Amino acid sequence: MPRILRKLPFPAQPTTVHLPQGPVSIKPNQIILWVSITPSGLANLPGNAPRLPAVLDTGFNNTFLITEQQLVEWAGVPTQELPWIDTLKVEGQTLPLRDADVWIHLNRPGFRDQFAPQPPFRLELRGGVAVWPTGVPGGRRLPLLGILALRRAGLQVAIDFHTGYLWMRTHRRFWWFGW
Amino acid sequence: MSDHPENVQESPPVSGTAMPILGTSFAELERLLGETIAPIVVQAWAAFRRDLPGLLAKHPGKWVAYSGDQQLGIGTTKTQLYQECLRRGLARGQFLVLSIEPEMPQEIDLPLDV
Repeated sequence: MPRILRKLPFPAQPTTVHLPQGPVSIKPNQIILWVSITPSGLANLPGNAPRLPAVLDTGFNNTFLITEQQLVEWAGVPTQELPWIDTLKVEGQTLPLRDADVWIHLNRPGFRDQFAPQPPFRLELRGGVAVWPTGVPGGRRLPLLGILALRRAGLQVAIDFHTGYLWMRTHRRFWWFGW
Repeated sequence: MSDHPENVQESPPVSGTAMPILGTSFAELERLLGETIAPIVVQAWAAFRRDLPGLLAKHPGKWVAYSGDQQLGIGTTKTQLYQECLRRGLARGQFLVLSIEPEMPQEIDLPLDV
């Protein structure tokens, strides 16, 4: 699966995405991917796994961050289903890293919130996802996908700030294949 | 999964509160998580840290599975190792699958808001 995201728009205007729990506002110029989260090691993504938005954040130098509430309500995964594997220090807070797979849903080219028929791309996160506990203040409004997740997966990302589109693919074997 | 688990060594059992992570004891971590970390997981974690130098020398970039103090195998993908452990009859929570890579500073920066 070389291509993951094709011509994914990141609008310069505020937008809204719709989850079963209600609308979620997206700020201008935020790069939104749709992902699912599951316990690690599943053979395939279950057909009923919810999709949730995540911000591709080039300033976030780890893998994936999500609040406990988002994990439970948006991703449909009780925290106890994701075993603890390590710990992260953020703004003086200790956050648990829990073992999980993040699946990136392929988009329909030119659309952010419409999906291609191909199966999602599994990110085998080294180090797991950071889960911001409900009782700890400071959780972010949206889940974040960070550079470390993409780097460890060896993904290639092209961002065109002139047109406002993003492409993401696995490491190319043949340089003459285009985006 | 490797037929020849490497670096399998006996080590003293790890106390549930003895080994600090980022200055946080397991007891503090359990309070933070609101759940108990199974001793078998704590032991697996400690065994991985113990074996990491040897694993880095021989299998950098791969994945390794532990249950308690025992190294179960090495694989190229996490999913492969998970599936193998489950096939062996291990339940989730009885084993850890970890990436063989140098330890990194576990302090991160975040945007103020998104």
